[in-house]
Amino acid sequence: MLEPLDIEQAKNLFKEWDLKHAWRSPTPEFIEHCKKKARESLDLAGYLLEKIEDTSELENNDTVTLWIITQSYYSMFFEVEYLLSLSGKKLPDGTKDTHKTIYLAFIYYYLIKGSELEQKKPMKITTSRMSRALTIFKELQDETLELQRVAKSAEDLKRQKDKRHSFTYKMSRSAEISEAKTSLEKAKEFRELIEEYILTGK
Amino acid sequence: MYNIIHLMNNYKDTANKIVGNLLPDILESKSLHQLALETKLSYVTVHKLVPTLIKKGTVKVEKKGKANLISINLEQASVDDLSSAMIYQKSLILQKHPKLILLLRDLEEDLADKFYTLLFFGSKIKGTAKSSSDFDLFFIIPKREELEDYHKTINKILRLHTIKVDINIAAIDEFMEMLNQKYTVGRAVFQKNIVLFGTEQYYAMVKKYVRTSGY
Repeated sequence: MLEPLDIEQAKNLFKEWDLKHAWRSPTPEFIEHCKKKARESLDLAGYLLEKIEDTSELENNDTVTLWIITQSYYSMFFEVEYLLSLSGKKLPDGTKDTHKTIYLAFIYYYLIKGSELEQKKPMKITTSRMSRALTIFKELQDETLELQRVAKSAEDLKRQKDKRHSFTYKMSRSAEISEAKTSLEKAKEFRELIEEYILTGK
Repeated sequence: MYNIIHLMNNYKDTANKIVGNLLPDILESKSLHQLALETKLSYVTVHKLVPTLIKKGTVKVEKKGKANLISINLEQASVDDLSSAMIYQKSLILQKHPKLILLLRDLEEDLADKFYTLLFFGSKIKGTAKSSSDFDLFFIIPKREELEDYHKTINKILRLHTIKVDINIAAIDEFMEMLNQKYTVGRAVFQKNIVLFGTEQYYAMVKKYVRTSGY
């Protein structure tokens, strides 16, 4: 579901970017790169999941499920970059918080712009292909970024331990795998939704 | 000049509709009335065009009682005409399955350096599928020794998709053997399918089978 604050932020930011022509033009190589990365990340997540399900090779590896979730999210991130690049948009160099910006660009150009949301007050939209894609993207982005933030926080070991505990260590191995599986399925569905959108233009 | 080209294109589109409608059930025959109904062409159009297709050798007619039953003339139809009609029919079927289009695109990219024929069969094209039914796909590949390679590549691609697919792979000689037996998956595929890739190769194969073994 769209957050009213995100809608406002997206409108303000990208109306300004459009006016200032702040978007860079992607090269064909960049477009191909995004497409390739989206697919490769998904492929790697699928490969890792298959490994932990079918073999005992990674049985004692505690980070593998985290990797599956992260790669699933990155596949979606690159897919949105690919989608934007097809319409001639590449993030300017030095953009701060690329994850948030990509998310806001996604909701602005594919849900808000040209719709009632551009004029009226925020409302809940739940029917279109892109709103389903957005829900998936947001869920996995929040989860992945939180996991990454926690993983990077070496200074506060206790905080790291507690947080990670709540995400992963508390879970049994099978629950972890199930969580990773869900992320991968979401990323696959997301890719299909976006590719269908590219194919049909709606 | 423009009018002649336009008329020729129009003729080709209509011919593709009729032949394309007959092709999935390659051994079945249909009445003119049934063809008109299923292709949504007028009876007059079908009635006018079928004699041209008979003359060309693409279809043949068989009298049963008062009805004229039309079927594909596998001995004489040209591979080009059959392929063109099947490509038209494929586009109709794929409109109903956008996820399959995405899978096909990935397959085409990853198998770009390989020769194969890909057929879509089973309940999804028979119209008997439930929402939980798999997509049944049948690959015909040149050699048995490559089976493992194909399996590996195809499974890797399937990992990227949510649609449920049941994959069958057979080498050309295995497929030909299956056609000679009654209750084989190959025979079932032959009787009702949509060619998703390698259309010309497939119909060349079918014509060879008909020439050497009959129907």
